[in-house]
Amino acid sequence: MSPPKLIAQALDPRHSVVVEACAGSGKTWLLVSRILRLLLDGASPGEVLAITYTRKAAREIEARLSDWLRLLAIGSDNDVRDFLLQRALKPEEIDAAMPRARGLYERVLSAQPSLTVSTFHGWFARLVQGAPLSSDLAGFVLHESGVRLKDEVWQLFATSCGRRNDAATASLLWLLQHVGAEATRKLLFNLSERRAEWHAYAGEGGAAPVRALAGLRECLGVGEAPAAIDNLLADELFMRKLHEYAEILRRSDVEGDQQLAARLEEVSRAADNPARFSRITSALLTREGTPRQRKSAKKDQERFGAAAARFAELHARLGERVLATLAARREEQAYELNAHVFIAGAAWMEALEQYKRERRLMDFTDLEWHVSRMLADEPRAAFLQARLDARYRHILLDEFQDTNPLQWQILLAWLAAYGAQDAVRPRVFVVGDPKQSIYRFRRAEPRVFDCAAAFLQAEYGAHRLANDTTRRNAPRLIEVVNQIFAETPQFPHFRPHCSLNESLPGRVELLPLCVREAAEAPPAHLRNPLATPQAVAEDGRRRQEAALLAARIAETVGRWAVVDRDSGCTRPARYGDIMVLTRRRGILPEYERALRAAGIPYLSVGRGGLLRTLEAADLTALLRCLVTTADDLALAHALRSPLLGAGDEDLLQLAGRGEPNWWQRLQGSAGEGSASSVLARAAHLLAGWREAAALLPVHDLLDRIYHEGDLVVRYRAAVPAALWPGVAANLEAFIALALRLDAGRYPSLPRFLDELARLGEAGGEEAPDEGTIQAAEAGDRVRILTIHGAKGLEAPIVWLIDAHNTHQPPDAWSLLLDWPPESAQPSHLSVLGRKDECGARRTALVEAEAAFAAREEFNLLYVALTRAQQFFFASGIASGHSSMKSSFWDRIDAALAALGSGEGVHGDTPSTVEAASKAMHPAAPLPQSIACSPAGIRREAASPGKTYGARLHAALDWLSSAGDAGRPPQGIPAADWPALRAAARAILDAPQLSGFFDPSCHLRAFNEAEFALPGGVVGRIDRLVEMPEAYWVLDYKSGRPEAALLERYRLQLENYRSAVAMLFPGKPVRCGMVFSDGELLEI
Amino acid sequence: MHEAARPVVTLRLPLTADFVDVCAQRIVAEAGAQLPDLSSLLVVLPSPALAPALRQGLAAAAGRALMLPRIVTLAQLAAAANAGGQPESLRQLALYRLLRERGWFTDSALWEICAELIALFDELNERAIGLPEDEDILLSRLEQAYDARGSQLLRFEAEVVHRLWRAEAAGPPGRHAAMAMALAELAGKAAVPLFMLGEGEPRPVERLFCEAWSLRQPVMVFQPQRDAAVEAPMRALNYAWPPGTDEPPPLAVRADAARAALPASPLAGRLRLIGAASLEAEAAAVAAEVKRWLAAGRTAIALVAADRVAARRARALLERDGILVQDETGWKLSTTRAAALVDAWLEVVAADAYHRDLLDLVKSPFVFGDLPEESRQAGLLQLEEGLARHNLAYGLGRCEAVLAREDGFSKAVDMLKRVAAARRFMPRSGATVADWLAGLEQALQAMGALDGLVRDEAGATLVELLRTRREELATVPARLTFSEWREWLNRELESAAFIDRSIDSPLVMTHLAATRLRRFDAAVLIGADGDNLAPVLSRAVFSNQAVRSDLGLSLSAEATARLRDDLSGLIAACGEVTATWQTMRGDEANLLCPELSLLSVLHARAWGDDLVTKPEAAAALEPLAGEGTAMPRPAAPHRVPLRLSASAYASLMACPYQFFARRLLGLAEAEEVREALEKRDYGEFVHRILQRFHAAHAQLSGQPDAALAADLEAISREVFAPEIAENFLEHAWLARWLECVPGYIAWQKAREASGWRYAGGELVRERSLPLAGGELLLHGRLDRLDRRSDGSEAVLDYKTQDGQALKRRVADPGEDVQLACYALLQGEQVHEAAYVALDGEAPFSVPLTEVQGMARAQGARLAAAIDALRSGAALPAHGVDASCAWCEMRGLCRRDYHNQLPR
Ligand code: SF4
Repeated sequence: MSPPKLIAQALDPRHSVVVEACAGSGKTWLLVSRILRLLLDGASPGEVLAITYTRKAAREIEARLSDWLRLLAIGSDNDVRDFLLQRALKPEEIDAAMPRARGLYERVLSAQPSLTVSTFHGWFARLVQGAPLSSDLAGFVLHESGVRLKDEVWQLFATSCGRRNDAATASLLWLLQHVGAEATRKLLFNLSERRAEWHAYAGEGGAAPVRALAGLRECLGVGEAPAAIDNLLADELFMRKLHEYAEILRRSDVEGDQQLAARLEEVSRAADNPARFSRITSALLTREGTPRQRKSAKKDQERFGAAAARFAELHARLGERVLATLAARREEQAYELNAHVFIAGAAWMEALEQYKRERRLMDFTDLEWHVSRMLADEPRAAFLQARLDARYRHILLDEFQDTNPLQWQILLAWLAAYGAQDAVRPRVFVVGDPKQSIYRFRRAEPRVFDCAAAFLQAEYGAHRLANDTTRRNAPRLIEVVNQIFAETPQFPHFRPHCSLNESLPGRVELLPLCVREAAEAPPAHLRNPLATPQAVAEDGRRRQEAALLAARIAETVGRWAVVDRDSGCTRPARYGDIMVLTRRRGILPEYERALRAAGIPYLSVGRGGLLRTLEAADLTALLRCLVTTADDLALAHALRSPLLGAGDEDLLQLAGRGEPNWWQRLQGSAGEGSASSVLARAAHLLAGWREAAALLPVHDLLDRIYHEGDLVVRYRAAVPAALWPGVAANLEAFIALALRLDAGRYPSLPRFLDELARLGEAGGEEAPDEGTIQAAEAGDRVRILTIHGAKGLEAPIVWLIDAHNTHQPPDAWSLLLDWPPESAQPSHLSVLGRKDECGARRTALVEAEAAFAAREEFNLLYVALTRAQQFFFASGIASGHSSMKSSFWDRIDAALAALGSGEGVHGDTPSTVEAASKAMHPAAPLPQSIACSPAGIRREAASPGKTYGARLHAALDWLSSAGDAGRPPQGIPAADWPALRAAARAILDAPQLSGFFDPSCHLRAFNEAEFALPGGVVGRIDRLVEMPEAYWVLDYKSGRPEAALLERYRLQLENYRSAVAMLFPGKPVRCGMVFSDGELLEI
Repeated sequence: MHEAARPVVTLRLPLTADFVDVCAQRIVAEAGAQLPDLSSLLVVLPSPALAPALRQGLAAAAGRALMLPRIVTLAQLAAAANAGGQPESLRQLALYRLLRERGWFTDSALWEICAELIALFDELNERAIGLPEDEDILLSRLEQAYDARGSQLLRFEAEVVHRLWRAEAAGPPGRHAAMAMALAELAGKAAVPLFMLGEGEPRPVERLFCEAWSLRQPVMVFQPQRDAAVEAPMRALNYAWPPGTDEPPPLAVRADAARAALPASPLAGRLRLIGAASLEAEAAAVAAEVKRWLAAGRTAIALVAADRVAARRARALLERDGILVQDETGWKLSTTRAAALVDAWLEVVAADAYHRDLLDLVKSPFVFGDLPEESRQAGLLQLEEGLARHNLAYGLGRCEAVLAREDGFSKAVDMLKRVAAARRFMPRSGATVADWLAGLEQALQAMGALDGLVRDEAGATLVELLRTRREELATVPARLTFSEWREWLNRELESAAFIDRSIDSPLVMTHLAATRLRRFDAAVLIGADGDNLAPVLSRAVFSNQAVRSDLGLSLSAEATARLRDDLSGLIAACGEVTATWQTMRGDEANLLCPELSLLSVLHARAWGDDLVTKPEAAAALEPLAGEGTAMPRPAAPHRVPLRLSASAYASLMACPYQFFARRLLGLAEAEEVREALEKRDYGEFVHRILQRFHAAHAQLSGQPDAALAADLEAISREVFAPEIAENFLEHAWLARWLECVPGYIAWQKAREASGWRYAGGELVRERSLPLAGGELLLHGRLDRLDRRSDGSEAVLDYKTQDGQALKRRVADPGEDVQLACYALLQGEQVHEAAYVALDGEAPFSVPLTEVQGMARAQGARLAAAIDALRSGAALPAHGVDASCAWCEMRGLCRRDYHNQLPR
């Protein structure tokens, strides 16, 4: 289909559409364009629901949409016209669409309910938040309960098992004893990872394991209790034959036969059936478990004479029976393992769920499960949608190949509820690429794509389209892609691609595999550790590959011409044009080392997150030594960090001192004045920080450390240039982390450190990421990424390292789960144990699983290749042992050969351009901060005395203005009221003051009388009383002031006097202070 | 004075920067006859923050000295009139009890549902509307609004809401009802004219109060309105955010109209939008703006914190330069150190003094505040050391008992005693809230924390809160479990604020709604993205707009209008406003909020400028031609130890710098409490077991396998028992070891058969090696020694690790120093030195070849290295990846920052 036609069909708002779109074909463009067309077609924003796979992608879609709408709102008429034409609006429709197009931006921005672009999980979360009260889901907090939470519950679970004595305890104990603690934990954690599937498969409640086990028995063909061996031994015919067999063996005069016969005769003497059976197997089978071979029929003839034929028959029959029994036995063993896993696992999942229920926590798996339950229940589903005002009429699903079966079931429950004639039936747009499905480890199921497409075609009359035209990759590259994949039966969905970039130069280059260097002769002498580092046992293949990478990058950059994506112009390649892809992070240090040595700036995917970086470790150590005096190593670490900058000689000086711990040594040496200037500074700073640590929140403490320690400048000087941007981002990320953790409930420094330790150990997704270096700030660097991490990205030059590696770390104790997307629940769920305990009944499932894994391998290669716009390199090392699997390297190699490209190169020779200087940028000076004088003052905190004064004051006010004596005025705690009331009463009732408070004695009175003078001065008089002969200004004082203070009060009262005189001329004004004992002091 | 009903006079005034002044002028004009004494007037304000401006305004308008009118908010007025009503805490607890009795929901959801319902009821009260009298009417109204009929779910929802509403309405009046009553009473006695400044359309309470008042006294209401704008900036804003509810013309049309009406943008130079790339960049941009303003002499600057995190970061940056910020919004009490102490205490109570919580508690600066600092610190040190050394993961009593047995922990024991005493003040099980609170306070007192808390400002707020609640709830008999009460307390601490009032500054941190009608020279709006600067929606119980509208609850359109009013009010009232946001959050794009986006687009279309600027460059990230860090190579001849263990030797081989840090500086990782057995501990256990086993059975030959195995198993079980009692999962380690038992016995018998006899275990040995100027003492502890009848010996080392790894280790004998050292230590008669691999069913030994030769050579090398060090050789940090991966000295050698790395 031609691209314009495809676009027209895909964007047609009247139809549901399923698009299978190849890499680089512009999926996001299509999806956002479709949203636009829907809106133009009159859809209201609240009717549109777009779901994609990551929050990042969701945000990208929103940003793209916003940019386009903005263009429509304010762009020139011509621009808008072109824009709409590109999106397959017919020329004759454009004028009519124009006004609406112009108004869309505002309509979308201010729509209520708004247009939804979300991930599945984001959308589910909204559903749950809007759930009716009856769902009992109020107050749940979304919390990705990672390993840390699970480990905590795991410990609690184990403890509670230790105290109980039930089936779950017995099963847990069995598992601990038979597979060990690590494997038990892994098995049960794996199972709980899949608890949504578990519930879908086995149901909920206490009977779930029973149901699951019944299914498994059927699958494995076993009974509840092991019986294979007993059955065999109880089979009299078999036993008789065995006896006969032994008898015949006895006739042989060969020693081996005699031994076998002896073994068989022992059978009856063995203690129990298993022992009996093992004698039988050892007589009939080899150690490897295959039937023993007889030398030859002729030899047996010699040995057994007439019985030879009978013997041969018995040998075969008995062997078969034993083998069959062994096979059944293996199924029984598998069943036994599964039974314990299910029973302990169900209890474990219940413990986990209860723990989370109590804390109202919910993770993504829970979310999915709750939502699937709610939506499966029709009245509830309808009510749910109604509560949310969610009347979606257009559903757009992006990256659909990454959908899992449960998510599909949820969608299906929703979509299937509409009849074909239903006026409000939504229209669905699905886009994805099964060839790029690489998230099986996150439960993505590529089969869902076809299943959903079929459903939508049949039920929703959806158009199914395929786009195999890339806008990204050069034609030469596409030739290789086509060559590799077109003939691959394991890679369905592939149709030869074509490229729209006819003239874009491109090239695929396969570097020769690095081979093992001749082994170095072992050194004749023992190594001198002071002079020579340890020799690394590993051979140099990877080092060679890394060197090759560095050398080629150095050659390429500044010389090869690439076409700039934004401008379309040709320019010399930069470091930033290069993306290095790997499948495994573990191997990266070797390559990074080579790049560093060659002075090539790079950015690498972190190796375990922020907390594993040295700079984060520095700060952690520093904080640690502030709370733990005796942690000498933490202190020494902090001292050696660039922040404090101590050298080894400084440490030696401290090591030589006598105080019990290093903190005291440091402060001691600083106190004596014997410390170096570095140590003196450190001692001073640390002492200040320790004091601050008791008072300040962690973030504020860190900020002070950053500031007083002049951290940025000092790190910048200590870090190799190539590493600096990463370190700087990490320093920022660390303080941001403190801010985040610290803004939570109940902050304290020890807790923060515990939390850091826990986060650091958690690893994986929970560990905080290293700071992101924004592209603009990253400067010109080579990017090193995993293939997974590169999904959705592109670069002119892509290099796949380690491309010859086919080693897959075995996935021990994994879950075997089959959920055909057509069915409402999984068809199989069990755990795989050790290889030799895994029977044959599940072979088909295991093989299917392996086929999916193999398929995903292809997907990975496809993703890697299609990241490159122009140049693709692959390199690798020759493997030590031969492998059955063909590697990425092999596949590319075969393709290049088939294309007739010699020497591992296919495509254009890159044109070269004269290099501009590749020198590092000169150091930009740090920006100077704006000079500014301090502002604001910190007053003394309110003292208890002051507070009392203020309250007494309020009490007087309250009581003298007829407030209810039974309760305090605002601002006075109930507990303090009786005492304050009594104190106030004492004043009010003082005889010398009664005239001021008794309405019959004065003309009028004001409490808190406020006045303003023309200059804007505002004053407040505690009590102003008009007596027949004079105005009285009263000022309450809670204590006896000192002389100096008294003078100040006097002045203040004089001011009041003149103000009152000005306001109420004609009567004298008298002033006095009233003390808490009721005395009046007239001024 | 006047005693006649007349309508409330409402003056709609343009929303301008000087709105309050204009009102003041009108008040003075209206009350001119009474000047200079306006004290008989009543002026009601929407917020106390406006009072100073109003006073100034009145003074200026009067132009002479005057007695000011009474200036209050409605809430203050009601409070002054005795209108406390039932305390909220009481009401909440009553509702909670009702919910609990009904048993409709799981317990853990109750507080949340309670909060939702209260929010709903408050809104109903505040809007002076109720629910229909009849439950069925409510149901049918809900059905209609939801367009859903006969639903069980709907019926349930209607039932819950309705029943509780009725129950509440039957109880004593709550805050809103009490306030309404008090206000009605006041209005019934109205004796003076009333002026009221509104923030917009009057709220129902305001309206009702004015109407009631107007029955007896004149009432004048001033109502600000955007649409009456005359000033250019507000007019420009009105093009972007057309006031009113009519469908406005398209944005482009409005932009063109704006351009025609206002040829120059009144917003240029007045409003800046700064998109920063990161949190740090945003905070830096905020700080830069503030400093610029201060330098230009601005004296009233608002920091509107839509994003608290970024605002907090910005505040820290400002404080670096001594620029303090007065925070009006304050912090949740739960985020203070004082509350952290309370929580640490509750954690200690809940989890039987889990060691991390215990240390967190005692390290709080408040706890043991009555001890002299010196002895407090010493006690903490003892406690930390004691817990780690004795592996005391939890258990107050146990910790105390264990530490009391040993010298040098007396201070720690005293501390533990006090904590235990405090523990006794806490109720053991269900108790009333008041009792829980009383227990808590006594416990804090017992730990010497209360005085410190009261001296701390946040602490004082906290203590007061606890006491107030105790008072209020003193008579409630309901008993709460510990976790129910704790959840209640958490919610209290979460909803109470602590405001630090000790700072006076031209910079005020506040939230957007609190800027209404106020005047600032400049304001920065921190966090102007769509997530942070969003309309404030009430969603309590019902979120469907049709339902809300039907019940008379607030709608999202109102919230949006409110946001637009607030933004335009702020922009119009300030000389300059800067809005900042982060364009990226991590790797996700983050968009400017819709309101400002609209404004930006309109502005771009009308005046060719979208108002967006980039922040000035943040800290430069371009690489400096930096030197990095060189690999350290310290030398310290005088500190080279002359007594070394085999493992020190191994460390020297792995990396001389590591050796330097460990042996010359004497540094080691701090001890910590171990919560589960690790591989290393397992190895130790196995050693212990075999040591005991062989002590009992020097020779196995001749004894029946079964008896031996039983004995070894019994010993094993005994050694593991305490661990298993502590942690059920340790069964696995025991099982793992028991698997080796039969194999071990067979192996040992085979060994005996080949002539070897067990001759001792855990043997301490020392041997001197000659140095250039002295001698070096090598020492070590042999796991096991075997001897043959000819006197030849074997040194054996048990390893619980993978045998293949051991084989690889021994394959490079020059690098593996342990066995050679043991042979050297034991002497010439050693013929065999081997690791015994104890993992899996069949142990086997992995021997060193050429034992004596290797021992001599290794000894000589060590001596040579030590000699070199003593004459000044350096200790380079050239560990290889494998050594560094587990090295605790990485922070000292700074390997990550080295310019060149060894392989
Ligand atoms: S981290 Fe590596 S280089 Fe540094 S001290 Fe440890 S072993 Fe040596």
